[in-house]
Amino acid sequence: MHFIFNLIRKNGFTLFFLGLLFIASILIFRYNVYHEVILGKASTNIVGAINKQTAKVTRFFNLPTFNKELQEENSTLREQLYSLGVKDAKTKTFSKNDSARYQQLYSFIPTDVINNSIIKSHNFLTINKGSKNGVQVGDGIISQNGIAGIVVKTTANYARAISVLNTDNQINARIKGNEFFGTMIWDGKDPRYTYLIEIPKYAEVKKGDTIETDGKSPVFPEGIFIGTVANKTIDNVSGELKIKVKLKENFANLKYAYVVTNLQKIEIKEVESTDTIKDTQNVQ
Amino acid sequence: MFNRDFVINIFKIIVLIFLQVMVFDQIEVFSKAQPYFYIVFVIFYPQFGNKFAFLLLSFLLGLGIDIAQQTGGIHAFATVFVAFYRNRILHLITGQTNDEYDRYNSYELSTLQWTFLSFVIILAHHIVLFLLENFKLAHITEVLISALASTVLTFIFIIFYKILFKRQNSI
Repeated sequence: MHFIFNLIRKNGFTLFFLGLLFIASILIFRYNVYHEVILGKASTNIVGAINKQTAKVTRFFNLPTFNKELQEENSTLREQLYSLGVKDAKTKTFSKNDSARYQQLYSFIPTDVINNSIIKSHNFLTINKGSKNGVQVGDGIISQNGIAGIVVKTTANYARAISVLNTDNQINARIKGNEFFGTMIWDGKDPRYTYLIEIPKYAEVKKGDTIETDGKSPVFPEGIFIGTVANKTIDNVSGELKIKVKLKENFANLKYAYVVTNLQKIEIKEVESTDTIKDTQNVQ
Repeated sequence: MFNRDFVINIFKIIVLIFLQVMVFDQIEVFSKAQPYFYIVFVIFYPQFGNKFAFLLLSFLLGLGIDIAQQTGGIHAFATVFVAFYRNRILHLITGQTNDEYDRYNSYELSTLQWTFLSFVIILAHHIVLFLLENFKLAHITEVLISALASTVLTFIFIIFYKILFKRQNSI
């Protein structure tokens, strides 16, 4: 017994060190497995409030660029209005299309990105709209240049989203024109490029082709522009095409975004949940 | 251990966490490097201060950054790691052991020794941090390059801090 006490007294400092490392490791693994920190909710709220103040200052200096981008977005939206046969917003004469409203599938909530990182391999975004504004876990986030992320945690006023630039994130995407679809992943290296994998070898892809969202997952609407093909290689392991995608969105200065809520998401989930066949009466 | 200095250090830690979250997290150079300035606490902690308090404070500092950045425990791990080895690196550089010091004379390092010490501490911290953050051996060269670039960036800020507030080379 005496021997054990002596040992602890002599090596107390090292034991204390190892104990603290152990606690830190537990925190790391808990986070990686469950994607939740013990203080996750509280910290999202507090840090969100701080980031909001910081973002106010940084945003001021970037105003000219954002104004220009907003103008561009306005112009494209106006073009789309024309093609729909709805009159210009400037003349204040809207002709409401009731049938479109009745079948509305997605709702868009404008939001500000108040915290964002690009240099880690697991990047997250924080936005200043939360469950009070109708943001739910599983919603998509898009900006005017493409998709940005998927919401993983919400509080009353803020939400945390897993960025496209996160090695855990997998997004359904397709090649515009020939409609081959695959999974878009990020390799953690360059924030300007992602990879589209699981495309069959015989698919015809040229440099400069458009990559857009597929609409097969309920998160993002169909046909949202993501980027263009930078080059293509054949994966040594799977033997399928691996396409390098140049993102149009520059994540380093992502500030304004929209949260996309699929209004029929629950219904889609419900019908997909019956994939596993439970009643095996007819299966021999 | 839990004396007046401990409380003062807690305040220092809170200031450092706010500084890191509000200022230094906003700085990203070439989308490769980011400064982690809070490591300044480990570099400038008094050498003859309580060892246990030092480790505990480093842990709390790292944990605070982790809560702010929602990264689990990687900052706590890396900070405690370098805090534990700081005095050993110091002994290695000066070639003395703890027993040989005269505790009542302020001990001074040469500029070269100080530079080497702080660079090694920052480099070790950043490498541990980036490896934990990435958590796999793929792309290890990119991760190490990123860690090295961040080290240089942090080091520049630490030199600024030293020039402004700590003219003596005593640790």
